[in-house]
Amino acid sequence: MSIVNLKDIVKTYPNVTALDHVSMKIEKGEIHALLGENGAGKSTLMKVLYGMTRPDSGEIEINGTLVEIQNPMQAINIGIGMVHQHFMLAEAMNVVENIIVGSEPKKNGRVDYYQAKQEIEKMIQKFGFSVSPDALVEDLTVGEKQQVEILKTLYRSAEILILDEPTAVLSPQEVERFFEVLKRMKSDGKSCIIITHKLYEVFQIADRITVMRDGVVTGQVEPENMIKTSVNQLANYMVGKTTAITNHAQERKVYGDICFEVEELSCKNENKVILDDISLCIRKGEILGIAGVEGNGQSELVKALTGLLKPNSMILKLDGKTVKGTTKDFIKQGIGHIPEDRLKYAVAENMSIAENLVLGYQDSEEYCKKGIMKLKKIKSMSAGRIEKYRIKAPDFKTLINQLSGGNQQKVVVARVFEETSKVLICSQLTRGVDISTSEFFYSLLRAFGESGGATLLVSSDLEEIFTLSDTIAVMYKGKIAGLRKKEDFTREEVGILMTGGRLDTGKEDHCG
Amino acid sequence: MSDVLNMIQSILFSAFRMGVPLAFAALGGIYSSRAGIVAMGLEGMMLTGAFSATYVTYLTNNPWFGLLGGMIAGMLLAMFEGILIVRYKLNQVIGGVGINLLALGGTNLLMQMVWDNRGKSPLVPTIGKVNIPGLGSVSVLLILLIVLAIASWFLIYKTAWGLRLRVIGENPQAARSLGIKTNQIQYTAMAVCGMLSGLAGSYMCIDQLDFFSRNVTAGRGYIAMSIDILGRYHPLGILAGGVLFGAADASQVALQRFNISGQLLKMIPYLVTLLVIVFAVKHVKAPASLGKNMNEE
Amino acid sequence: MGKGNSNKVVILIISLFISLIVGAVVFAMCGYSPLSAYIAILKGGLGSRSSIIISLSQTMIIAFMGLAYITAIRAGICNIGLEGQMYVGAIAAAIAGVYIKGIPSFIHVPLVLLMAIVAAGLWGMLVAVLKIRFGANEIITAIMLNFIAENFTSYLVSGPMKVEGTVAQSERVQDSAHLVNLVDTPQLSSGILIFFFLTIIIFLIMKYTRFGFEVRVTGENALAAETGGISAKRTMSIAMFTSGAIAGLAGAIIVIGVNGRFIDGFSSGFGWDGIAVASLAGLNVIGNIFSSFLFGVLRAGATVVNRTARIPYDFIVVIQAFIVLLLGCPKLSEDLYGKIRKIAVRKGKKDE
Repeated sequence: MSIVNLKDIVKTYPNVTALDHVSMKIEKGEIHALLGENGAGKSTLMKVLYGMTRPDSGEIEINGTLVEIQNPMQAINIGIGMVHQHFMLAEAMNVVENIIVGSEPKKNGRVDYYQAKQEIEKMIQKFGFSVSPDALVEDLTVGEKQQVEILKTLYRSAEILILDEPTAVLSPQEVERFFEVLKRMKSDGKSCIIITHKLYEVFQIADRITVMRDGVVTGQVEPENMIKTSVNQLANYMVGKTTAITNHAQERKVYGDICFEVEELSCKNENKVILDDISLCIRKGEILGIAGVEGNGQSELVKALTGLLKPNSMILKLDGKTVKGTTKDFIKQGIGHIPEDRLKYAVAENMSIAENLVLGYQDSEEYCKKGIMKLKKIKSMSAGRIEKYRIKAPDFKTLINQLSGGNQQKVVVARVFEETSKVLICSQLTRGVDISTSEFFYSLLRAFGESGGATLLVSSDLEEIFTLSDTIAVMYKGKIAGLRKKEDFTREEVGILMTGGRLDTGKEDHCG
Repeated sequence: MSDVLNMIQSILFSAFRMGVPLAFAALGGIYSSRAGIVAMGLEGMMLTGAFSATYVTYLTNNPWFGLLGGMIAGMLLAMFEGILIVRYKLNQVIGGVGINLLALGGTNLLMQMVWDNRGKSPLVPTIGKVNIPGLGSVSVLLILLIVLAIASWFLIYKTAWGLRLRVIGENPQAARSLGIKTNQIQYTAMAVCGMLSGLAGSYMCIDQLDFFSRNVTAGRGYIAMSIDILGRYHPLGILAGGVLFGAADASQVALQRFNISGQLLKMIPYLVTLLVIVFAVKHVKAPASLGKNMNEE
Repeated sequence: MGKGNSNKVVILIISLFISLIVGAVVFAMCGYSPLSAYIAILKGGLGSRSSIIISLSQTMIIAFMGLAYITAIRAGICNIGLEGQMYVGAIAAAIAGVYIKGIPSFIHVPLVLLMAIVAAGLWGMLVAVLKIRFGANEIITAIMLNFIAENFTSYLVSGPMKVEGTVAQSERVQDSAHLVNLVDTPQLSSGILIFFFLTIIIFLIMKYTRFGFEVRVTGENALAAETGGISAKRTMSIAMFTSGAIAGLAGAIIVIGVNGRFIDGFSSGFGWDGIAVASLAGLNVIGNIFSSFLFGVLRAGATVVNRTARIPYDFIVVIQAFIVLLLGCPKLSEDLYGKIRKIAVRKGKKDE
């Protein structure tokens, strides 16, 4: 008897069928990977199981008994726990408070923090976590925050754990440690469901695999078939095409002259060192990848290089000329920026595609003369770009909030690639974007390099870094922990640097 | 010289009296702010409480019934604001503006309807005083304030409900994902906020004064909002803030003997508030979700 | 899109309806038949030439305030300091109008208006500057600046600037500072032309200029604006200056056009009117003219029924409050619209 049995789940939203008669079984004590692209329906399915969404039809059986899960509270009571991709934590409060809230141990009408802390410490020991119960959540690393999220479910004695893209933000070493935790939980008899789109990972950890695409289950791999299954086979289930995943390793051209150069970049915030004497340079045609666990200064580096943040010190040169001033001046000199979080930093949601395509370049003579916008010109430009970049929208008047995440990102990408000539600073380019669109973005990025542009690519996805970069720099605690040509780095070495370790050989000065 | 000393003493003494309504409202504001709702409506809740307390006292001749009436009226108005904000996603600043307009217009209107007077209500009996050695006779409500502040501290920092409230103020999604009924807690917090603000308004009209007058609160709700920030959204912190702003209020009364224009004196509390908000509270962190409405899934 | 618009219309109608019912309850409680009270208000506001003039004069001031509010909210700031900005503009106009003597009218009037614009604009911008420079809570600073402006101007006209007599008011402004009247009474001055001119200018700026684009992006998403090389702080400061200046202009027009002097506490909540009419107009500068007219008539009519039938004038504030509250609820419209449709569908089924 399966511990979880999802039968014929259907869920429709006004315009799409998110889940189309989906069935899935999870056995006790297994690690079950739920694989699929963004928008394949895997998160929706898990939200149904966790009571965050009500299905239109279908049944859920837990341990053979039919249950109705109407809200997370019921799910928790049944023994289901969920670790969300975007952590749900109260940053200004401590670990214990975050874990126990909603299921507090009580004594004489007050919360028994002492008992709670002891219980949590026991669990930390048992499963091999490293987080301290008294720490404030805002002081934790990403990996530790994830531990708090897992502890939240364990504290509620969850038997079934749902983990949404748990490795997305971790370094390879942290991933290893996380897998260790998973194995301990498994041997403790708990069942884990991992939502992921990382093909390679599932072979490493999963006992069973379910693949989804466009709201239906397209493939299932039983434990006994795991060895026989290939990555390409899984990819076919996921993408629905028989094309093998393209191998991006290709002969790179020789780089040109130094194009973009930053030196002595330091930044402090309330006496906390955020960026510590960073020097980097990018040659024409080169893609410099910045690897690192999120929160090690990458965001600030990007902001400093795009004029959004005034660092304490920085010497910035573009083609040998010093770059100074505000973001406006940076943009004018040909530095394009694709920010990490499009809804937060890149688009105005309630404005049209056309207006968002102009944003950042409203000063250019193309679109504006003596302070008056050239609306006709903007319209024809927008229509052209919607076609060229395959933005799925009725017309250029469509508001950004009516587009899917991938199409929103296409608007940002279209604007920046069309207007940028020299340097491109891009961060988390393909987050929340499906595979074919990612491939499209990759090809754009390569074309930009071939035309002589210099690119700084920040990504928390190590695969993306290795796929695209010519040179890789690793950031740790506001410093460049290592910098080499891609060929000279292994993933393990990058992982070591990402988590504060050292390599025997020092960093290479490739600008020299 | 003794004149000045006398004045200082009288300012200090009346700082406590003037500080009580401010501290009550600020205490209410903590519940609202901790639930992630901007406490802009304090002004309207105080005014409504003040009117209702006076009216009920006028009807029953018993200020304790009046106090109850003031609390209930403040609570109802707060719940109304809470429902519009939590359930119907009303912008919190607009909500504050609307609630305060409603209270101002409503009390002016009702005042003319029940007393046929645009300026002032008839005199009503007030709540009694108690004698405390060293302080002299003080209002019973001053003691109630201290008790309620300590009780609030216990409730917010020691109980499960308080823990949940604080988490909602920081990250309501987190609370909701753990099965906590965030709406219920937000409504409860607003109800408590309204009761305390109603109490604050009641104190002004059936303790400090013995009548209601047009817009009697005159911005004290907003001053209470500043006290919340100054007191770091902590129930005991706001007691000190209450005395400080009470002193500002009291000094305008005390300075009246120096033949300074009344309008200039009236400005003192507002100027003090402005200066405090601009210069004194730079690093106070508000609850992270304050002012933001939560999106449903 | 279509659904969004019909949603808006439904919520508009429902909010107005609820507000009018609230008014009706008030009238009934005062012992009047609601219907005849409303008719009396309409008559009071539109019944004769002079009442129409008063309505239009009120409309003008309210419309100025609505325009001021919309200007700021476009840049993402809810300007609740309009009342204070209006007083500051008015007192600046009074100072320039009373104490500058011996210059011709075509210099004096623009000078007075300019004084009002600068003073009120800076007063408005102060909120933005304090927020940006010191992180001061803008709700509290704006409200405190309102109280300070109200009390300080009150001090001036009951002290240093006071005219002889018992009423707290300034002396009359010089003849050369008077705005040209459009009709024989001073109420309806050429200020209304200034208003239309401003509305058109702001409409054009928002729609066609780069600055308008920058304001709208800033209002929608200040961080995205920064990414796009727009200084959100600068844009917000300018928007607040403009918003304050418009409110100050309204104050100046009251001083040199309507009343001829600064009368203590002359604003009966015009700043809050502005928020209400702007909400009613869906933050549209053209719609603002119509919603202001509604309120102008209501105010003028209310003054009349207050005199004749002793219905308290304050019912207007209550109606205003309901409009502000109900029109601001995005989910309320969805819920109500959904319910109405459900009923309609059910009815449709029954009919079959």
